[in-house]
Amino acid sequence: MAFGANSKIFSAFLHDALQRTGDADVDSATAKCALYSDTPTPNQLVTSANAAYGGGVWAANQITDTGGSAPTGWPTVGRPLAWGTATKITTYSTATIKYDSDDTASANSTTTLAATYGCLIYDDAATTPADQGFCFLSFGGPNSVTLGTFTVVYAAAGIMTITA
Amino acid sequence: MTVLISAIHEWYCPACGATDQTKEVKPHTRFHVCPKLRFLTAPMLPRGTSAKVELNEREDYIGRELVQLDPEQGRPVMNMVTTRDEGTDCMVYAPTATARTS
Repeated sequence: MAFGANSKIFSAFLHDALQRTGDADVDSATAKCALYSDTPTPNQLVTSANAAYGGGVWAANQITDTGGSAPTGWPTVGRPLAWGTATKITTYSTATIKYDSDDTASANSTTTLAATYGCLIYDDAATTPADQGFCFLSFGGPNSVTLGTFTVVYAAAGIMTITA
Repeated sequence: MTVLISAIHEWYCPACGATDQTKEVKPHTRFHVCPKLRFLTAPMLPRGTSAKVELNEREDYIGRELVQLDPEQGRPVMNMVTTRDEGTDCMVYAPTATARTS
């Protein structure tokens, strides 16, 4: 099993949004970035429940801060996304819709994280299903810090993008 | 009476040797576009800190994935690691998720 090289939007998230059967909201400020080891094998075509934080392959193998102020630096449930400068969602007037946030950094400079291979971006306030996942991002290999700062730098193309 | 605290922080880049100053009181890190690290945004370190900064390329198969590329060579990048005497920092360059299947 391996996290793999792909970064995908969950089809169930798009389906639920179009059918209005879920209450995950990309426009809310309650999204989080949870880190994972190489053990989960993500699949973009799973059910909403299995795409949620705590469901399916996302139920275990989170990477948690074990450093000087553990687990504050990067808790098991992840770090919150923030929008100081980034635009959350681009306008409908272009064919490509982009969801973005500021880079997500550990809460302190004494964070220790071992072999992080990817992350799950999810809505921590969603209830139907609980903590529904938006997408997963593959980091392309093991990433670690020891008593330092861990930062996930999102691409200029955003965390996720959909082209109409 | 309000006490105004002024702190001058001296920064340097172990890769290109650039230096800078900041006067921010809150904890922060200075970044710059580093010509020795393929013109990516790289962290600077407090002057006097012994460290090295390394850029690591992404080695996984790329395919149609929207990974981040360095501006100089257009190569896919995975992370930038700062190794200090007492620890390490890591900036991970995350790809963009898409809805299309592989």
